[in-house]
Amino acid sequence: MAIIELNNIGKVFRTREIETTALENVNLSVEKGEFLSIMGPSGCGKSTLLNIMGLLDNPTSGTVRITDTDCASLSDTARARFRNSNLGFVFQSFHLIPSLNVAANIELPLDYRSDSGQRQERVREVAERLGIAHRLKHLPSQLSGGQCQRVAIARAIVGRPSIILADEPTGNLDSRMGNEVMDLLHELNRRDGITVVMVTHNEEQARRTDRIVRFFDGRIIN
Amino acid sequence: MKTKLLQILYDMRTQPVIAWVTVAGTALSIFLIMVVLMMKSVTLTPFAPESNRSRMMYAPYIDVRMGENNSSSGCMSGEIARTLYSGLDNVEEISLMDLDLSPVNVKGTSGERFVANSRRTDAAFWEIFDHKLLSGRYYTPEEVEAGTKVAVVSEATARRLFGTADAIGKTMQVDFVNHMVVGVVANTSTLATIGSGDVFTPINVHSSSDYLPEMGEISVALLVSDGADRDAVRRQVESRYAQVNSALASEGKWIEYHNSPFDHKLYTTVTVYSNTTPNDSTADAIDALIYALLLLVPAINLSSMLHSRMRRRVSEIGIRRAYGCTRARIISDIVGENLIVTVIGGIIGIAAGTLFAMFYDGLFTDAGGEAVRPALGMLLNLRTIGAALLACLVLNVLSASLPAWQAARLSPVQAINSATNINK
Repeated sequence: MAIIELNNIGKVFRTREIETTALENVNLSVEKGEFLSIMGPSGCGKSTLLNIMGLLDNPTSGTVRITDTDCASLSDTARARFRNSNLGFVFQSFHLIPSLNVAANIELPLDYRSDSGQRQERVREVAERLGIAHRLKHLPSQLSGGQCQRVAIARAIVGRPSIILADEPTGNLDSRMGNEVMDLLHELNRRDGITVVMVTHNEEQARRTDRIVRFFDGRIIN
Repeated sequence: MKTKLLQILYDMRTQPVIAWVTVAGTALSIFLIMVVLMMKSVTLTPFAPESNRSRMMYAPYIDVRMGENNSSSGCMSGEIARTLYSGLDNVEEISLMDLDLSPVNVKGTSGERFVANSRRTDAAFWEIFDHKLLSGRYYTPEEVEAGTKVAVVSEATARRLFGTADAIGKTMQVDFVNHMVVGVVANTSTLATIGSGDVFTPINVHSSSDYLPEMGEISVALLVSDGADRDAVRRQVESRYAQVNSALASEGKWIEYHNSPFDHKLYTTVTVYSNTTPNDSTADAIDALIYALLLLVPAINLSSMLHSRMRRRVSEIGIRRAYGCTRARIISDIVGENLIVTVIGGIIGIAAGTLFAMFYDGLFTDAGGEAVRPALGMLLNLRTIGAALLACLVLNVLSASLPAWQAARLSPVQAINSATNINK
């Protein structure tokens, strides 16, 4: 069963002077529980596609369905709530909030939910699972790159999303830490059944996933 | 709340100049607003000898017209004052008096000749204004009627005239005319612009100009009943004007009614000219303009600093949006954070205002006189502090709204991927 369905997605970036086509007629279906890699050269539209899947950006044309919801019909507020409930994000440069400690960073998605119960317990549970429970009171500036990405993953899963969208999650890490992060994503995929869509340049990491989609000039080429 | 405090502490650590300038700017703004409020407060808060400010009305002048291009305006004769203002319903007391102080040359037995603030009044003045009689007595209606040369002086003036406060029965010169001191009253603050004085003497209640019998040296203060309808009082006065004017019509004269008597706030806030109708809305508009400027100028600066702080947080806003933060929440969070900073600045401003009121209250009084300093409660009260806190809120909304709205307007992907200008 497809959890993400992209139909005829196009994305054109326009400025006063130029028009750049980032995506053209992209059709992609991601199955529930699948671990999908998106590969391609820089600037080919991989991250743009991931942003559209994450409802962080709107396509110029085409439709996006996630968990059977037609996302085009959602208002800005409804999209925010939808992201909060269904999606987790992991970025290459972690994007932790520097003013908040690890616990508060992990708790962030829960902060935007109306139910406030059991938050601390959930944060601790996730932190323990990711091996960062001893760092909960630390600021991001006091952590290593690998620990920062663990915090980012903890933040991505704390709200129990059904999908994780990871944009080059190991791009800023050395190979050992990169492998650790990949192991974590695979564990979340296998054990928790979370669907993972990952943009990567790393062929070896991509080969470990269920499927690879290759991009070139805004189109899927395989 | 905890998150907002953490963010503020983080800003203070990482951008100390901007953060502290923001706090200091807010504090200065609130301090200035408090000083203006205190200046207002001393003109309106009741205190001795003007404990009845809320019940006072004043009629300083009349405006006599003798054709389109011929008029004369100024203080009124005793007869016109009584005709227009005596015996009005809901008026408990009326005093014929000088509403302004006049400098007079005085000399006592100490030999020193000096200039003192003089006020001429009738005997009813002592009923309306609650001076504290230290010794002797006030002058009587009979003495006023007869124009007896007696005087009541303040304690400080008595000491300067005679070297002692024990001045009863002694003779002093007021503009080179001998007067007997019959009473000594406690010193009063010059902030009581209508009730205070150094030397009080009987006014000529029969004064009348040779040129225009309607004019003279008299102004009028009225003490109305608690809760009296002031407009109803004015309507009575207007009708008295009509009666007087019908009598004057045969002489081709009339007295222009300028909506007198005026309330204490109006009379002490705007400049009242003798031949125009003072306008309450002008006073209010001037007040509003002063407060708007006091708020708007720092708000623009604070807004610019908040804008600068927000530029550093663009990607954070994107992340928050990605994880489900709505635009409304972004705005409320930024305004909330800014409110905390504004309140911190506001508290510092209020503290500075309080210290100012405690130690520099002399600035509110006329320099050089024997003025009594205003009580702290006159300067600093719940109304002043409440208004300062309200100003904090307005300052916060004015300074935070635009940067918050701009931040909320960013698309999540634009914010995450860019540390570029927030306006982009």
